[in-house]
Amino acid sequence: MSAETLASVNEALFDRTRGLKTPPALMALSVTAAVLLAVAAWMVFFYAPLEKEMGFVQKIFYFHVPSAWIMLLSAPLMAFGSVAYLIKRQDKYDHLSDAGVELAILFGALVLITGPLWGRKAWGVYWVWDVRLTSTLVMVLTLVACKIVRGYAGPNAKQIAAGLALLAVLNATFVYFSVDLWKGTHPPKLIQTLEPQMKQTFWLSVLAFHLAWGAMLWARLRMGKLRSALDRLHMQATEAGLDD
Amino acid sequence: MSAQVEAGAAVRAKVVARQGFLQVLRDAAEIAKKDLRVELRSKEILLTMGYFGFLVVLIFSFSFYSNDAPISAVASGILWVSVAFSGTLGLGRILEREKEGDCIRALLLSPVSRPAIYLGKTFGVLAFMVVVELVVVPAVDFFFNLRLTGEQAGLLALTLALGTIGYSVVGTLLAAMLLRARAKDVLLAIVLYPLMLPVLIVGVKATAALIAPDLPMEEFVAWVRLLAVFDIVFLVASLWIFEPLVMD
Amino acid sequence: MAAGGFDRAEARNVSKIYGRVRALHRVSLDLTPGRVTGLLGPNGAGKTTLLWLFSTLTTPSSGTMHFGDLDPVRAREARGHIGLLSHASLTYGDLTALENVTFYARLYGVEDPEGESRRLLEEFGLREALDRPAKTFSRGMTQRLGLARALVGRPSLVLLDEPFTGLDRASTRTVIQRIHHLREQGAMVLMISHDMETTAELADEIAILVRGKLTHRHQGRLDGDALRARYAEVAEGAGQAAQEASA
Repeated sequence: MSAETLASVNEALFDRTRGLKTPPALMALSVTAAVLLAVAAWMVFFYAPLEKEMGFVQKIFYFHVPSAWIMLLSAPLMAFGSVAYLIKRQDKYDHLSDAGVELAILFGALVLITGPLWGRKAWGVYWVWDVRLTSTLVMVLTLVACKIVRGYAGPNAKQIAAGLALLAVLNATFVYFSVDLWKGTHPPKLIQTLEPQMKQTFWLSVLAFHLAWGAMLWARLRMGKLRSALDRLHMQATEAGLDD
Repeated sequence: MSAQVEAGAAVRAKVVARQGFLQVLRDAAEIAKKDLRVELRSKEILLTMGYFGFLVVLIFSFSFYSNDAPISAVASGILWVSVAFSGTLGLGRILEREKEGDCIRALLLSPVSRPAIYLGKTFGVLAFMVVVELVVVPAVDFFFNLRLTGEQAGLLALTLALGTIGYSVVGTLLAAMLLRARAKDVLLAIVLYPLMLPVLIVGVKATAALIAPDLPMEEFVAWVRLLAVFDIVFLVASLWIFEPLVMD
Repeated sequence: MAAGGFDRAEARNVSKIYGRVRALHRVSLDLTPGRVTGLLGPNGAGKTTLLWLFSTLTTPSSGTMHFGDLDPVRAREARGHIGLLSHASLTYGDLTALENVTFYARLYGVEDPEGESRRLLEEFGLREALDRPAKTFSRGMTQRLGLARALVGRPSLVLLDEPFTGLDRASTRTVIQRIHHLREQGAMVLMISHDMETTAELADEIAILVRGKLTHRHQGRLDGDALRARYAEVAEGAGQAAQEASA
């Protein structure tokens, strides 16, 4: 191996270790999100008044709605990442798509857990084939499949995952329209009807969820970046003949 | 430099000539024809798919049986589920055939464009599905005592055709994607069914509407229109997604 | 040469890494019309990987592949002018020999696909087997069918991975004749073979790959003995050195 390649590997290693420290802004964002989440949770249970009709179950609303919004925010993110990856084949878009998929699964799962709990009280059954619940379910199911395939698909895994994520978004949109035609049981927009304390609690919860989402996305993208840096380093090392 | 560009253009000119819309369709038809010819020789896929479809209908029909009579309300659901299940069986096999002898590489190496390969396989899948439906529909009719009128049968054919196109379009893409994956049959089922939910939901609803005593025409038309939209949207998306799937 | 084909195929400094395994390391090799390049090397040296790179079905991890004057990023557009004989048969077992070749002839836009396929198959001595399903073929017949399939599109670049495996003496002669013919027609031929005699007879140029590196290149012909000696020196010498190093 030439001294030159050794030097370049060395330099790359040196660069990476500097990049390993968590950026202060990410740290600050994570801490703020954590604190706000705690405050929001406190407000939900001790500050916001009990709703007359639904009672204690109404408190689910403070978690359910922000989760649903965030899931909706993650969907275009991963659709964009997937399309960009399929066109450009750059790893950063793959990371974006993958991060979007994971966040959509996480918050989609929250929606799917909290939704039926609400439904049980409101409609007497856990599950109804409601537009939003169904489309969320379909999207989460497809995205979980997408994650599974990513793990087992072999050499083309990234392209396949990108294609599937894109299909998942299209599909969820389609389900939304199809079930809408079928029937709609989902409660209409409640936000305007809330009492002031409820409103304050709700919006703080929304803010906290969005910050948490931002922090997770950032951390996830950074992880992807570091991982490809590591892969590149391995490749450089292999190229340089260190595997011999 | 300009001479180089011109020489390059000569190579491209011939390749581009195979990308015209009609050329793509011709190539796709050639590939589908080949698949049908192979199948007519071995009959392996059609026999297994058709028989499996029949068995699924049979199992469902005695699962939904009360007071010596079948519950005909579930007939439309069973029809679509049987088609979907036996479809998966065929999808895996028809793509697997390209892997025996590594023929998929030969196809990818030929000047034929990617969309033509994708469409060719889709046409083949579509043809197989139609044969399966010719088994499954009479079976459902028989076990659930539907007694379809001529009009109902026609509308059912339309609904099934649209649903099957959607199924084949997405199914072929997924099966092709997973061609080189480990445990591809299991993976195919895992990804295909969630993606097929809309087709199944809409198909089941449309079929239920059409076997209802007095046909709610307006509702039926709305469902069928949705199926058509699904087909178009997913065909365009699949053509686009298939293109960059390079064998490596 | 086929109309619209290309007259240059070159690997420039290409490396190929599968996961974390290095298959090829900075290999440069150019093929020119009317020459047969014999690619030699021990098992796992990366010969097949290099062949795949020339087929455009695989893309290099680094370095570029040049076909004619095509921009390397569009290398795939050259694919219609490349004929490939690989380890796998690339044919459908349930179709007859004639149907197989005719199918590909149609995809390549050959005029009179069936006649051309029949002619090629007969040339390779499969006249009696034209209408037999390919799955009933012996190894040697499959090999000849694969060759007919590879050549039906009149490729400018012909890639042959062990073309003589399973062939009897007479078939070997036919294939050798055909490769001579391809050279006369001005095709570029890249051939992997373990058979020193046939390689010596055919190759205008020898390239030896050892553990992913192109360690030796010889322009011009070598007779069998010279080739064997050269190969032993380069490939087996390197193997020995590696063994000593690891011991």
